Amino acid sequence: MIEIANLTKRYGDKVAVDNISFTVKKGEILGFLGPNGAGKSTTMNILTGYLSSTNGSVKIDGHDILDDPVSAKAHIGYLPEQPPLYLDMTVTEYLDFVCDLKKVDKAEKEGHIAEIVSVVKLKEVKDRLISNLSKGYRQRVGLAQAMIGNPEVLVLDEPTVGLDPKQIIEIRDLIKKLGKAHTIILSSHIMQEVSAVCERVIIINKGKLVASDTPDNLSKAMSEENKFQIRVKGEERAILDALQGVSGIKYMKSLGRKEPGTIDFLLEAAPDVDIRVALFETLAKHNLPLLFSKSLELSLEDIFLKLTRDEGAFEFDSFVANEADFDVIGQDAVSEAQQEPVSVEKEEDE
Amino acid sequence: MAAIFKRELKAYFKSPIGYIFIGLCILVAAVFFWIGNLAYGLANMGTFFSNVGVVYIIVIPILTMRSMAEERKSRTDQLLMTAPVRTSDIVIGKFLAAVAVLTITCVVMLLFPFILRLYGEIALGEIVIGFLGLYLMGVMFISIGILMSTLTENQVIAAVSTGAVLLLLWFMESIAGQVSSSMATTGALAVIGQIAASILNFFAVTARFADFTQGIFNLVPIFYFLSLAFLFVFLSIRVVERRRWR
Repeated sequence: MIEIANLTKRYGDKVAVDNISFTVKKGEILGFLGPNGAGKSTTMNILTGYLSSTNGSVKIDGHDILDDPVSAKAHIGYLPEQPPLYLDMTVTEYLDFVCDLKKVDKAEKEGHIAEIVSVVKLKEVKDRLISNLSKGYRQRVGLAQAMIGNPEVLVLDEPTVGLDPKQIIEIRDLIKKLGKAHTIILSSHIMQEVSAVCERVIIINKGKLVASDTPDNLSKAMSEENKFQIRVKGEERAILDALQGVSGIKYMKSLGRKEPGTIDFLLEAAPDVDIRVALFETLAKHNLPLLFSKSLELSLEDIFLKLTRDEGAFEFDSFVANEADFDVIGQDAVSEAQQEPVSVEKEEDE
Repeated sequence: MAAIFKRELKAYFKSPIGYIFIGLCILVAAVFFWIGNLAYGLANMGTFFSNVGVVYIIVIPILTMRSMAEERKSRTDQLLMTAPVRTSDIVIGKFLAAVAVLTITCVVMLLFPFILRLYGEIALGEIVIGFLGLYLMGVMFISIGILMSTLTENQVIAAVSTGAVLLLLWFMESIAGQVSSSMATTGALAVIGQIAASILNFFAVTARFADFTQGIFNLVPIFYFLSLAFLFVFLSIRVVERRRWR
């Protein structure tokens, strides 16, 4: 549906977008992730035909955005970072104008607007001047504008920015719903949003494409392979001895006591070896209850930070450098788990 | 193009700009008409036309200043430039909307000769030609205003620069005269002086306008105003198109 090849945009000496290529399949929801100033908006402006690229090509449904702009643009609905609204118009007038602009059939216009107004929930403000609308409503009018003419592709540049949490959830649900019938490219710098809505994620940093995969795969690929945090009830010495008997463990480290009567351990297994069953059986044999075992997969947020951090500031394979990260993650797990055992302990006291 | 024309024309009358333009034009024109024609009982409207031409220099910048500049400032150009329309449709639609406001003004001013008729005979043909000249010059001035509006996102700068260009054009005839008379009469300098003067003379709009105000029907000045309007609209389209490539 969308083919982007070797896209480059230079502003004088500054390279805003550096040789980016990707394709989006029909019906896909693609997340476009990157820190501020990474080139997200520039890329979106190029693929909607607002800007021209210095190099490379954009094809929408086979139409080149530069050679055949009118047909290519007919397939796109675009919500820029700042919704392009005429403040002197009412919502209905504005949508009517956009219908004319996108050459929606005169006979279908009224029904089409009514349908979109109900989908994005603008009914109660449809006769108000846009200048009197709140940010959340303006954003929705912007979204409605993009949907007019039923374009197959929707390009949404930070659609939830500046909205309150309830509105964010509504817009996200709406995008998910739209995703069933449209191809959507959505930019954001909010990880949860992208992982909640998108089927595939592209991360760009300083104009370069640094990753492209499903949120799950990304977090698998980027996680330290086969690392676990486990919590075992018992004495540290006894547990360490027992763990020696599990084959496939490459490295282990005690993380100390996080909960009374238990010890946490960090384990690293050889790649492609699943040690979890052996681990459970061995500990059970030694009568050491395994309270939890947790794979240390990185969240999308961690991946994002890792990928967009300055080069050289981190070393991937160095275990030591990453230990600090694990401790933080471990702590989180503890605080989540802590509540139950406390009440258990009280019962024991009685 | 029709969609943009329609929106733009409505916008002129949603903001005070449309009313200011029409009101100011007609008010000042009426004063000139009263002083120049009614008070003296003069049936010749030649002076009236030149005076309204001066009013243009003030009101046309107001008419055209927001046209493209406002779109860029409020980022609504992102809607227009990513919609399935050509850049030329956008610019021409806006140009024609401003021309439509001018048309309304000229039509209202056409009432003046009918007031004169109440008092006696008038040379209707000559007056119609004068109005044609006034209209065509306005169209050309609007195209300059549109071009200035594409060059900036600040309405005030667009208005002031349009005013400056129009003022310069208005005095171009005397500037050109000054250049050709103050240059040496012989030698290479004289040739350069003559060339410069003839280039400046090309932009002497008052000289072309004079034909109309005197009631002379001549195709050359008609063609002159229309082709300059075409040129400036074309340049505006190029400027907007060019911005994509920045």
